[in-house]
Amino acid sequence: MAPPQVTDMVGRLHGHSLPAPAAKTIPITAPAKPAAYAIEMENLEVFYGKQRAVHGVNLRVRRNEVTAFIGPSGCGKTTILRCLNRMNDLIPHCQVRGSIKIHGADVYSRRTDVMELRKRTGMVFQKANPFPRSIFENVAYPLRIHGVRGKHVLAAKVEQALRAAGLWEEVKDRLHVSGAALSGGQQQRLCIARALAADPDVLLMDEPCSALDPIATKGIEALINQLCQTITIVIVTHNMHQAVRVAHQTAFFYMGSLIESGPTDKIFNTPDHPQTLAYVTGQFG
Amino acid sequence: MMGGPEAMNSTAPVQSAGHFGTGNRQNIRRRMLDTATAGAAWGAVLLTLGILLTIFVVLVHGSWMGLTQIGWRFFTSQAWNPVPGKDHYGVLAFLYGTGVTTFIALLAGVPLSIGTAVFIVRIAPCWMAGPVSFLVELLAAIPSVAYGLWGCFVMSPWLQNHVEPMIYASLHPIRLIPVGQYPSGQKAYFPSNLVRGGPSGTDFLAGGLILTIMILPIITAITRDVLAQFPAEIEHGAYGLGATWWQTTRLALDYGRVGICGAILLGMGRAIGETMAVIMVIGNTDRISASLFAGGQTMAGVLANEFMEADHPLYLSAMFYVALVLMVSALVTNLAARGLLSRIRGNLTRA
Ligand SMILES: Nc1ncnc2c1ncn2[C@@H]1O[C@H](COP(=O)(O)OP(=O)(O)OP(=O)(O)O)[C@@H](O)[C@H]1O
Ligand SMILES: [Mg+2]
Repeated sequence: MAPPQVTDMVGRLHGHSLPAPAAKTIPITAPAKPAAYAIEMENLEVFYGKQRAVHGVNLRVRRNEVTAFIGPSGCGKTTILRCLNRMNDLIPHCQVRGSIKIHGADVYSRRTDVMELRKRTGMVFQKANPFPRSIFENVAYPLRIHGVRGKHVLAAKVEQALRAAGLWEEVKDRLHVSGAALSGGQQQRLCIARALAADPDVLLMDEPCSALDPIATKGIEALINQLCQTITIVIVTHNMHQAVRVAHQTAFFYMGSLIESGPTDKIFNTPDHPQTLAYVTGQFG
Repeated sequence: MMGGPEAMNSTAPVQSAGHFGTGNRQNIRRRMLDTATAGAAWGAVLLTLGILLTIFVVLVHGSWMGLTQIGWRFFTSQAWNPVPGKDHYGVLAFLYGTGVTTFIALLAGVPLSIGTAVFIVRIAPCWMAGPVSFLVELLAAIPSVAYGLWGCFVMSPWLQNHVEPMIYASLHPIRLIPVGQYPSGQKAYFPSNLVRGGPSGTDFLAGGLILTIMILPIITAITRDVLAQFPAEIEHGAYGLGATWWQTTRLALDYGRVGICGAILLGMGRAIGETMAVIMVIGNTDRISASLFAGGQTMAGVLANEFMEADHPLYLSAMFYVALVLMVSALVTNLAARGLLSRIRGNLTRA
């Protein structure tokens, strides 16, 4: 697959206390489209009880690009990701402050329809989690719960989602066997297909390949490269090579703070912050 | 096991076989204790199996006369007339009584139990889940004769005076589907026929309701455990797709359906075998009636009621025959329940 094209650097983010020496190097070439950013976080803070897990993160995620979240274990990547579709609502004592906007709409507004938000903001988990149902029913699930009826509509959408996830050819003859009967990589692609069936504009992936072998990982990465033509993808990964392979932008977190973010090749080659350099060169984390 | 140290030290001269000694007194005693304990355990198992087998053999033997003389007619006749000389025995009325009361118990008890389990696992805050769970399980600790007493002196009068008049008033005038006619020639209609005869308080409904309370704890407890095993990943997966609380709960129930079926079957087994509480509220007559307000009898009930009176051979044999039918039906439901439950346990250990 072709390495991601890094065309501009508008993704350079603010909010960190460091001086921004890179400022002079940022040519703002992007057309002034009204919503160049799919996700905008401002002063995001997350508390688990009294413990603060995320410290004032300001980050904007560009539309129709892949953004990788990297950082050592426990630095808050998953926590931030789960704020974006309000999965943290499910954790008691979890408190979110600051603001998150997805396509301009305030996620934590009282008027937000959480079910609709989660439908539009798909999530793929670290461990593949197919439902105890057939392959077909797994993919049809989000459609059914959001009120899609009609055999033909369902069948068409399921096929479309499975094709988009690159799984159709492998399973088209056994749509009615249990989703759990697939291999690990297939299960993960099934989960991606399931998320895609809901027709999201943002896909959040939390270490989607950590349980997969290199070939399955390659498949999923190719898929990500394809999907980002139409949707925005945020991927958490511990695999530096994966970040380089799939992400246009990369954000590096450390101890709950955003240290640095920007185009992937910059983060990996000439980061502004010594901590970033130490992390991406494998000196800690 | 013993090769370890020798293998590590292979250059050492090979020790004589007597190296570990032929065993001092203490070791011999310890080994004997091993043998004795294992032997006792085997004995206990064999004894249990033996008792089960003996009961079965005794039942078959006891009912042999009935089996040969009455045979299959036992299941097609509802008359139960133990007068010597003119005696006639059919189990149908009791089979019907057991079936109807069990059906009512499941109809009311299953939603109630599953609802309670869902509450305990998925609604109640921590401080409440424990106590509620405990209280429900406490229901299982109440002796069945205490249920019977309560049923007889509290529930039956309450049913007769308050509940059944209401049901009667609402169902009696409704004549939707003709369902044949009564012996008197009057036409019967559903659902009006369900309340024919008017409130009595000691009837199928009372028997079914007392059983409902008695099967509640076991179905609730197992369903609760099954729901608690619903993996968090799947739950989050569903929420992550925008599922509501209820849609996720449905997925959890679906995930645990095998275990919940097992729980229901166990409850059914309990309802089939329950005796004391039922005979205290069911009215004890050998009739088949579609009416919920009619008195009836169950298989377990007739055994408990008439055991002392069975004074001639065929009567006694017919009683044994009833016991055999009862045991086989209880055994089949229980085995089916265990089968389903062991299937989900198998899933768990493999996961
Ligand atoms: N449910 C929770 N309750 C309390 N604290 C939590 C919870 N989840 C995470 N935390 C804490 O929040 C911090 C950030 O955790 P998070 O899971 O976001 O890290 P992460 O960057 O995803 O790590 P990893 O790479 O290991 O997945 C950690 O210190 C963790 O202990
Ligand atoms: Mg994580």
